[in-house]
Amino acid sequence: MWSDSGGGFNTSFGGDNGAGYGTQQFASPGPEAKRQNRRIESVLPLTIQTVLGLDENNQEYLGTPVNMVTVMGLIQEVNVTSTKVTYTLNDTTGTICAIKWLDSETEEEPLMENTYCQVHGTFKTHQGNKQLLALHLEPITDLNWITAHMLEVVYTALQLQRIKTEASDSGLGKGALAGSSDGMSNSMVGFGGLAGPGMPGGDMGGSGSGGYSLMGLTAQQKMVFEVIRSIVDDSENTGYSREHIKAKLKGKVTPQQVDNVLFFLSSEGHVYTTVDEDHFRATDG
Amino acid sequence: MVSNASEPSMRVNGALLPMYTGQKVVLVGTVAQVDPSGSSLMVKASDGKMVMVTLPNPLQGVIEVHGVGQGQKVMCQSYITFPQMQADKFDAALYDEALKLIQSVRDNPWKPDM
Repeated sequence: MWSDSGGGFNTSFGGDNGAGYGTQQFASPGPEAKRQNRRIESVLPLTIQTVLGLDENNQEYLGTPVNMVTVMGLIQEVNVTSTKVTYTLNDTTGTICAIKWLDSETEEEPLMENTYCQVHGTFKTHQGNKQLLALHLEPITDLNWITAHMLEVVYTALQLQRIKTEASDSGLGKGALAGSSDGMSNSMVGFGGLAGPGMPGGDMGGSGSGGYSLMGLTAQQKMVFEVIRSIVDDSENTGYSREHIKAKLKGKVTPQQVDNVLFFLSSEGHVYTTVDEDHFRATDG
Repeated sequence: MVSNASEPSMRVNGALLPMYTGQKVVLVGTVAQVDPSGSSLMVKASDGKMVMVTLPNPLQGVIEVHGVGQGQKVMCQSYITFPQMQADKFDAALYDEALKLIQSVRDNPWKPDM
């Protein structure tokens, strides 16, 4: 279920076997990040109780801004008008109304009462009541999806909880999480990449690949990256020159490969150029 | 002949039933026996005759029961079946582990707020 097919919001539902479902990418606008403020892209699986508890002015869940959510619940009531369909959803923790606006072009049959469905959408407050604006509503025919949703909700909550405590502990937070994510699935590559800028170079730097998720890089890329990261005495922040990197890796990586790797790393954002195009620094340095 | 909900139906007993083949009927009786397959019942009609009733949605396969716990029993208020799902496709072991996790993990979203 955690297949990493890139992109924040994946609307191509596999239906029966769930391939390609639900990519979660947690974009956290860490204040100390060297990147600019990212648009909030995450789709958070939540219980209806949690959604009801969100504050409308400060839409945050465990320290993470909430934009899109996904809930899975039983349809208890269906109310069809010419412009929209209102479903009352219950997921054993609470009840909420989900509104699906109808286009004049799409002819869709409303879902039946007493069936489970999954809703992806945003939440809003209308006349004091919290409601879900359903962007995608799909019936659940396989109970295993419910199992998956149960687990995803708990997982999300625990992950965010952990980021939150580590942010308050180390003060720079998110990097510490990346270090311990080595055992996790590909979805954590998203975390690792984002955690980079905020990472404390001091305590994590010495522990080899700990402190920065290097998953997704080939051995060569890792070597080049390590060389750049391990720079000492860089008081002028110029980084390593291309020639220097090639000299360091002589015998292990050819100059042409070093060039290719540097191009790849800089386009991925792991390194950046400094005084000129031939000097590189790592983004977590 | 397609059943139309607004068309009138005829009340019958066991003996009158065969006269209305293909037409809408209303049969009142007592449940004599529920078939183990869950798809049919035997109803004792008002004249004592046994009538077999087939259910449109057989009670079989994966079911989710909502109700009140009574010791080892559940007093059901409603239930949901998943007719499009084959019973053996349901990963019971995984679901079981998931629900144990929900019960045990501290501060997880599935626990009702006290």
